[in-house]
Amino acid sequence: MIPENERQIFKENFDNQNLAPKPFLQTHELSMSYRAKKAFHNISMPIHFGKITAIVGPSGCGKSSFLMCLNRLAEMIPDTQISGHIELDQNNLMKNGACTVALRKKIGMIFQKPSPFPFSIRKNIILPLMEHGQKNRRILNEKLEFVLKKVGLWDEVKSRLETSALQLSGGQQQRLCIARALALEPEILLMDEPCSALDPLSSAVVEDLMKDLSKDYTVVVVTHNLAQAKRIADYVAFFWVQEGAGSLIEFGPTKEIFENPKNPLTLSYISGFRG
Amino acid sequence: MIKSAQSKVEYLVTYIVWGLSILLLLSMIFLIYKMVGPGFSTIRWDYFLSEPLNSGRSGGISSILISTLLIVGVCLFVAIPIGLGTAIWLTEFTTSQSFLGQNIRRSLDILAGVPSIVFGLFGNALFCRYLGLGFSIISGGLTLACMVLPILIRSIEVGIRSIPSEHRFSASALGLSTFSQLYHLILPLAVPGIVVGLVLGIGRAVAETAALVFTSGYVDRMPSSISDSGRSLSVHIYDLSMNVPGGESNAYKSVFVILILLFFLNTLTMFLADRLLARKVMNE
Ligand SMILES: Nc1ncnc2c1ncn2[C@@H]1O[C@H](COP(=O)(O)OP(=O)(O)O)[C@@H](O)[C@H]1O
Ligand SMILES: [Mg+2]
Repeated sequence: MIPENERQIFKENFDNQNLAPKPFLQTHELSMSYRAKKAFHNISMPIHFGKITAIVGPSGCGKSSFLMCLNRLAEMIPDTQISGHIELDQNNLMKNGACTVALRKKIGMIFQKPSPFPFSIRKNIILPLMEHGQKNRRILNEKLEFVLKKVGLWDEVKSRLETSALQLSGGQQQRLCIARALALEPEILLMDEPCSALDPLSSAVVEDLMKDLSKDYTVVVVTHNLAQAKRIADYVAFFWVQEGAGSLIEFGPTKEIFENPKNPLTLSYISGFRG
Repeated sequence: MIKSAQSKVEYLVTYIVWGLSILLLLSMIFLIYKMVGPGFSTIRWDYFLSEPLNSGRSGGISSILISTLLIVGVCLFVAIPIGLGTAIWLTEFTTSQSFLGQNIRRSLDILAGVPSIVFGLFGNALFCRYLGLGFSIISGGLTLACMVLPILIRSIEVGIRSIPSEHRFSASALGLSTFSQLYHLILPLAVPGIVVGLVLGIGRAVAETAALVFTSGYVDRMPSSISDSGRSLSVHIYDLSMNVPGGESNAYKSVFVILILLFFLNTLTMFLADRLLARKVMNE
């Protein structure tokens, strides 16, 4: 946990320097490779508190891998090598012995393919809560209702909480996964192309939800959809494969990236010439 | 033209497939009829309840049934925890490419094909002599456990590996511990593999003859404890049909019993696996 006084100092910094807010999460020369393949290389990038940061770029440029490093999920894949470090509220979260369970409670993740557990809708949300020590039935039920309302699923599922989550439609499953992550009260949400496996209508629902969530959470979203990035993001990071590994080409406020990109690669990508 | 030629081929293939299945089914029915028929028509309830007399020519099989259940019980009691533990270790704590994991897997596959007589001699040397357990139900059960473990471990492992990795990623992303992932998600989803392993393992254990002759012996009286020697059903059938003139009709009755026993044990396995594990997940 972050000591309360540090958090206070951080908040003051944030309020005082609105133009250049201190990053909440910051990677320092982060690199990662799979057994045979470098995924991305030397990425130093800030994630700002309470903002939506969109990561865009062509397939295979390491966006998903980067995201999986932020909650240390990438370590689960055998034979990956990760170097550099990640700072969260001034703590190095790559430290050996840093508690991944607490970290992952704080940083929730949504995957490209909706992946509810083969449990009932209720158990999908309650099991992680119970795992993190919440045993009180009443509180569990309150949280269940709260997060399902938050993702706009409550009215659709309140009469069938005991049925299998796999019976829901793709868009509903994805919203259930978001609710499941929200139930743990994370501070940061990592979303890996959360709309790309969904039909256009569900996709729009999830996009609205992301916008809504950014009021209470720091969101990092990978997206293929430049228009979506433009609509919802506060900051955009543009990834591109250079020398066989993904690199961060440009990072900046959305307006700047789209209207006045500094790098010619960014310009050609956002204007649809490449990628 | 083309279409009708295609549909002719399709019809032909359909007929062939059906024909082969029916042939297979008929031969199975014939086999079971031949094995079970003679026993079924002569068996009486007291066959289950009385002890064998006159080397099994008359009397029943109560002591043999008890010995069999005890041997299989000892075998499963030892094999299930070790099997589950090893399979979990192989899947969760080694990668499919790691040196140790790969070699353990290869050894298990070789062991699964080793003739049972070799296990019998090994069990005799290790359990009966070296560990001083003598010819006993426990020696037999432990030897069977060694035989069954390779199949059990590999089936459970395949069952666990077939679970989509998304489940693990989302579970870890939610901060679920390895233990609760196993308990709530992985093992319940691996139930088909676990059941296959157990059914194959139980089949092998109940059918085993050679390994038991060397380890649990062939004394046909009622065992007083698991350190007593005991004769299993398969050994009984073997003895009646090969060594006891006039034992044939009782051998057939025992064949009938062994099939019933297998059916019962397999059903019980599926029931328990469903009750204890599979209920935790809802696939639809
Ligand atoms: N599990 C994996 N094992 C080996 N290589 C991988 C694995 N996952 C991704 N890669 C490789 O790493 C690179 C980056 O992949 P990824 O992070 O998925 O990119 P993106 O999400 O931007 O499409 C790709 O070249 C991909 O082939
Ligand atoms: Mg990706």
